[in-house]
Amino acid sequence: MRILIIQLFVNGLITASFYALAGVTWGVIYRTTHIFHFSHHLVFSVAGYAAILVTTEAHLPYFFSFFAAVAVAALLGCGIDAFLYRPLRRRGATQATTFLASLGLGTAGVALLLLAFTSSPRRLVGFPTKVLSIGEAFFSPADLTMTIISWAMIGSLLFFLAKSKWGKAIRAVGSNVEMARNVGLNIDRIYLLVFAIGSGLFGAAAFLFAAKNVAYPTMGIHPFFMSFTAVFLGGVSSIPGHALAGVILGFSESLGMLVLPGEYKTMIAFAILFVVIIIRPEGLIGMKRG
Amino acid sequence: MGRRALLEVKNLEAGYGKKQILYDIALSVQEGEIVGLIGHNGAGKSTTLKSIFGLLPPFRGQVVYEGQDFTLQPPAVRLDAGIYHIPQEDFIFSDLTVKENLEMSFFTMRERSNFESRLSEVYTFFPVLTNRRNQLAGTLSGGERRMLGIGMGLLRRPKLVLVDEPSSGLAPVTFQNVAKIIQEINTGLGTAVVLVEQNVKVAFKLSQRVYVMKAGRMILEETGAKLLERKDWWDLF
Amino acid sequence: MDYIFNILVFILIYAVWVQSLNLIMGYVGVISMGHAIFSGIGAYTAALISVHLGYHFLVGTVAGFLLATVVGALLAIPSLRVRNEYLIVFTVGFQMVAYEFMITARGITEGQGGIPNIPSPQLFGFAFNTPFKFLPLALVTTVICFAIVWRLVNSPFGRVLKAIREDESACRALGKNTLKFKVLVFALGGGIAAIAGSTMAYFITFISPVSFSIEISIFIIVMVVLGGEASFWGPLVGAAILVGLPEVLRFLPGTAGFVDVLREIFYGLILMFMMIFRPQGILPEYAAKTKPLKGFQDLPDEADAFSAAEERNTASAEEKGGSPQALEITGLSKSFGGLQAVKDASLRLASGKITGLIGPNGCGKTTVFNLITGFLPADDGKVYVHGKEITGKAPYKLIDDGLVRSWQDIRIFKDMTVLDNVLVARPRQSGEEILRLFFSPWRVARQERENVRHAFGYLKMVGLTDKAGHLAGSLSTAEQKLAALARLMATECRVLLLDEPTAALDLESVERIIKLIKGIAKQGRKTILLIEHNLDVVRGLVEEAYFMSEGKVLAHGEPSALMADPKLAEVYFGID
Repeated sequence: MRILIIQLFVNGLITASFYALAGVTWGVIYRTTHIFHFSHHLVFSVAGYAAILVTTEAHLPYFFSFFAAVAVAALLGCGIDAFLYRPLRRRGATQATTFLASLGLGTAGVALLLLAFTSSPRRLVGFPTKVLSIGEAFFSPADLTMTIISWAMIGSLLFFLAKSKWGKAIRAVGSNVEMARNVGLNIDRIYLLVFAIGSGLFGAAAFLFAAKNVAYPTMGIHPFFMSFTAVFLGGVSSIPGHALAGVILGFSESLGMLVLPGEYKTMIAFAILFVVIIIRPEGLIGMKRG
Repeated sequence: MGRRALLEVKNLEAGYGKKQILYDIALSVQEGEIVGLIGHNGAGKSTTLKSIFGLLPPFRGQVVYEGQDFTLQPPAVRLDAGIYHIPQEDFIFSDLTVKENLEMSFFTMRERSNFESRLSEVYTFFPVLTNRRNQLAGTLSGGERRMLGIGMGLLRRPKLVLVDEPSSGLAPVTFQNVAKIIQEINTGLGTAVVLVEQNVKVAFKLSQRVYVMKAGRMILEETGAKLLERKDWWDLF
Repeated sequence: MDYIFNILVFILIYAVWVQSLNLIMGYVGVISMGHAIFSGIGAYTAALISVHLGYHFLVGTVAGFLLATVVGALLAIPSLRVRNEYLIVFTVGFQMVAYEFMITARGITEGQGGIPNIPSPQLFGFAFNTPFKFLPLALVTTVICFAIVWRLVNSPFGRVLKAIREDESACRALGKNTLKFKVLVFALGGGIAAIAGSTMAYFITFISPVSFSIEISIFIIVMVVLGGEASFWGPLVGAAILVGLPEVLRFLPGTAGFVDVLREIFYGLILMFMMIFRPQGILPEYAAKTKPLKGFQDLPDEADAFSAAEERNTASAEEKGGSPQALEITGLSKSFGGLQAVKDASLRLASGKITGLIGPNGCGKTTVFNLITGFLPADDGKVYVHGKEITGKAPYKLIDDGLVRSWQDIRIFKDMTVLDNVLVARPRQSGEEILRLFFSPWRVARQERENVRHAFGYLKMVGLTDKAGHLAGSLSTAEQKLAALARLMATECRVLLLDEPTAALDLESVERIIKLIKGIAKQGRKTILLIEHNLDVVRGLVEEAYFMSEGKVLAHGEPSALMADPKLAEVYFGID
């Protein structure tokens, strides 16, 4: 029993790291732009395929997959903002309208992936698969990499937002976009930056996911679901909160396995979100919006 | 008098969407001058400032600054040229610290080497900001926020400041301070000011000239001194 | 031929499904990502009831409807209390969780394989077991569902929905419990989707989870968007196009294997295209500037409508007794983070008098209004209306206590006619209650006729009867303020809070409004608290005024006395 609990803890930690990363990637976009970006899962899937194709088609070492995934994701994210969201902004579209357009893009995009790659899963070639262990808990190199890189990225993002010039500009836009205009900040450019960062990081998450599992067109949907659940659970206004909520969701899912069969993992996440929002609508550590 | 007009607004018409607010607005500001803009609520004072700053593209008319047509230029270009706008409400970044707010105001400055010296200048003008520099701006009181808003402008040493109702929500004593600071910025640094105010006495005292707006139109232009002599100002509203 | 009837039945089923989502997206203005599940609830309930319990199809359908309505309400209440975007989050979660449930809860839903052998509907021995025979049943179902939606939307209830969509706060200030309306519509939308689902179950005689996946939810959204949100016939058009068109694809060679994928790409493109180029849907809009008014020739006499209603009102008030203080606040305080907006404010209004609330901009006058009317929770202090405490009561409940407010930015409902603006403010309308709307139509109609007469009375008082059929957005600012005043009076409240009613008006309109306000107070025996910036207006109108500065009440008394006080002049005009 003790062995099982340690294993569940280790699994929980791995999943927690992944969900925390997923959370901040969507959170930084939503917090700054208030766009209900519903094509985030497409970025994940496309990045995942990019990572895999680098090893299977270009026959490059998996190291390059990482950069391919991040670059492709960042480019796609920027493209979505520049070619879909920005024209909508110019036309004065509401948040609901933008959401629907985003939904459309995600739907069409995933279908295109299905057309191009069919639904048979693809594997990343070359990633080390030797089983590792700490004490009696087992995990793979992919798991270890995922945990370390996730936290490295979350840490870098938070540091960037807190200390760097552009990070502060991003926070300024998220805080008061009208005033940001008053001090001459280029809002369109900052939105692009945020989409690049949020999408690029999600692309890194896709690489980690692909290294551990397989790639298929709808691979982004569950991670995306967890990412926005984490954002609303933690509270929109606090990006560290998104990471914290991701951790909670990760451990809950793992511990939930003790009680429920694995198929119910979405239910656990949803139940937690539902209960928390009823009690405290602004999320666990979010602030009430003025 | 030989002084070139720093800012000239001619036949300005503007509004939000289809709703027109401003009708044939004209005003001018000389270098180093303080010009007052008063009127009742909803007369279009804030809209005028926003149009001058470029936040609101006009339906018709011209905004000429330092002899050049700025009518279609975005706010960033006007900032560069030396115009700064302090809105009436919501003029700080509540989720950033006081220091970060000031950093944001300086963000688009081309000449960046003098940030530290300008910053200490602002802290000297507004000691209360020094004490609170690492506090979130959202926790500041009304008067402190106003100081921060003006400090953010001061940091850029603009040639023309458009300030919208700086007295709003402040105690008379606090506002006295603010008014004094505006005066000092004007006399000490030569900054021109367009001052929208509803505290009309102070507006009349500080301003060389005052424009009066009513229902979107300019109805009067007069020197501050002459207006101070009047007994009753209610027909201006 | 059977093939064509098949398609027609599907078009009708989907039309009902889409109309039910249209109710939610178009008339409430929120997006539900889980609408397929509500049909699933209807389908599975019907299937289980008819297959395992052997009950008649009507029982199955009604059971599905009821269950879906309850589930819809349970989902909507917490989500809509927060912000509309949370509904997207919750409905996505709901869709994914319920779908998982359908697949995994094999004991109940029989899992991925689905439930086969659902008995075809039977009525008096007649079995609707072929597409041709089922068509009339589908048609009747569609007509009934569309009729329900029609009745809902073109009724006092629908009028409130329209107002909510325009300006929810203003609607709450007029006494409408907007959350209740939104939840009811969401629940009903779910219920009607369930009817579509159960009809489908009885038609195909087989159901499985795949018919209720998130792709289907998205498909329904696409049809709503295509037909046009809040367009009544849009759902039928959208369904006809997107159900009929793929059938045409079948006849194109070479696309067989890719049909599903192509469909998804197509739906995605439609969404993007429509949102960018034509968010209002493909049907032509006809925004009539005026709407024809039927049969309102006998306009009541001005005194007639007004005093009749008001006499009833004041008579019942005098029965209730209540203190002579119409409105009293004590020690009201409110701060936002570092800002103390209102500090220890107290005031008393005597019944039937007009009292002013004056002070420089930013001194907290509008905040006091917001605190009194429950739009902001107070940190401290109490509010009483005619002796009864109302501190912190939700805004929509205050109408019952006889208190109503106006807005500095008018907030007239621009896309509704002037008459509708006044009508929506009428209190205690049975047509706003769903059950009465459907089961007591004559009473609703009679009350509506009476309300229209009263509305015209109020419009006559402000001089806008000839603009009754015009859209409020087409009126001038002065006319909009007059309409807002009529709307306010229509609530029959005895205590009115007016926020800068003469701001930004020309002299003539100001005079008109002053006269009206005087008349309202005297004739209707109303108590009025007036925020005003224009001291001439204050002098001419109020007998007593309270002077505020930086959130505190500094003084009160006769206006001329206040204005002669040098200390107050200092605050207002500035220190020497």
